[in-house]
Amino acid sequence: MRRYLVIVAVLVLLGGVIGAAYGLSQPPSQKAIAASFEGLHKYRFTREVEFKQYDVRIVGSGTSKVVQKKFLYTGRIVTTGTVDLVKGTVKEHEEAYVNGSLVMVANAVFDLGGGKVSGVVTLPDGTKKDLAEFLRDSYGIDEKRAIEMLQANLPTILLRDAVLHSSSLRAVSPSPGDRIMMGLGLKEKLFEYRFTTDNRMEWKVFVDSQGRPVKFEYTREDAHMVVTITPLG
Amino acid sequence: MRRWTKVVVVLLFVMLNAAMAGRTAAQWGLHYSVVLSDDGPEFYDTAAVGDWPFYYYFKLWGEVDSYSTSWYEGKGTSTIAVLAIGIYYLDDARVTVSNTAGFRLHRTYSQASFTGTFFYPFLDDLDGGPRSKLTIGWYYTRGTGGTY
Repeated sequence: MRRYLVIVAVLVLLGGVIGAAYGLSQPPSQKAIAASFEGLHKYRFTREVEFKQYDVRIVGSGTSKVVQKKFLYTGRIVTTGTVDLVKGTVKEHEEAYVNGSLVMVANAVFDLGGGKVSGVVTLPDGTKKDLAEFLRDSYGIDEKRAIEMLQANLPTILLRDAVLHSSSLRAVSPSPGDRIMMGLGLKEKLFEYRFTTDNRMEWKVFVDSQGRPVKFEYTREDAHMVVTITPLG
Repeated sequence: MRRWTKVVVVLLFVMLNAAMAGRTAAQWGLHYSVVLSDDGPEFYDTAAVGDWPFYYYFKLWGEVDSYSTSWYEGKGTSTIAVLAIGIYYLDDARVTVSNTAGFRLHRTYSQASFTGTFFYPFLDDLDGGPRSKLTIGWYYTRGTGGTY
C-alpha cells in the first residue's frame, strides 16, 4: 500500500512540475513584447546573408531578344555589430566571402548624429582603403547617404519594414513537449512568429519570454539571411 | 484575425519607437539606385558600380525608329552587396521614353534585365523628328524586391 502511495505521490509531484513548466513557458503577451521592444536601444547583433549572384544576359538582336540567366557565384556576408541608439553609434565588423573564400573585410564606425562614416576596408592581399572613400568611389554613396542606408538596414528597422510589408503575422505554438522542456529550463525559451511579405519572402522571428526579438531570418529564392540580437544594458 | 492585426499594430508601434529613439529619425523609402539616360535616336549608356568581386554592370540600349518597331533593353543585376552597409535587392526597374513633342512611355519591370518594343509615332530625331530620350532606373531596397 505504501509503495503505491509513493508512486502516486511521485506521479502527482511530476505532474505538478510538468504542469508548472508548461505554464511557465507561455508565449509572451502583446504587452510584454511592447515593453521589451521599447527598451531595445542598445544591442549587439550578428547578421549572415548568403546569396546567389547571376549575370543576366540579353541574347538576340533587333526586336527578337531573350533574357538568359547565368549563375556567377555564391556570396556570403557575415557582420557583427553593436548598435547604440542612445549615443547614435553603430560599430560593425564585416567579412565578405565568394564561393567560401574571404575576399574583403571591413571595420566601420557610423556616427549617426554627426553623419560621419569611418573605417577601413581590407583586401586579402593586405591593401587597405578608407571606407568613406571606398563607398564613394565604388558605389557613388556619400557619407550622408551611407548613414541613411545603414539606418534602413539596422536589424530593428529591417524587421519593422518587413512586418510593414506583410499581412500574415502569426505565432507558431511550441509543441507541448517543447513547452515543458522550456519550462524546466532544459530548452531555451523562444517563441516563434512567422509572416510572409508581399513579395513572398518568408520570415521567421523568434522572441524570448519577455518578448525581445532574439533572432530572425528570411528565405527567398536566391538568398538566406539570419540575424541574432543580444540586448545590452 | 483581429488579434493578429492588433499584434502587427503593436509591433509596428514599438519598432517605430525603438527606431525613433536616440538622436536620429529613421528614413523611409530609402533605396540604392542606378539611373542611366541617353538621347536618341540611338540610346546607349553604361555604368559599373562596386569593386571586385562585388562588381555590377548596367547597360541601357535601344533606338527609336519612326513608325516601325522601336525597342530598348536594360541590363542590370538582382543583388547589390555594399560592404558595411548591407545587401540590396532589386525593387523595380523603370523605363521612360520621351520626346520634345510630349510623347511619353513609362514601363516598370520586376526583373533587372529586360527588353521591350514600342510603337513610336514620329520621325526619328535624325529625320527631323522631335528629340527623344530614354531613361532607365534600377531601384534597390533592403528586404523587399523582385526576382533576378
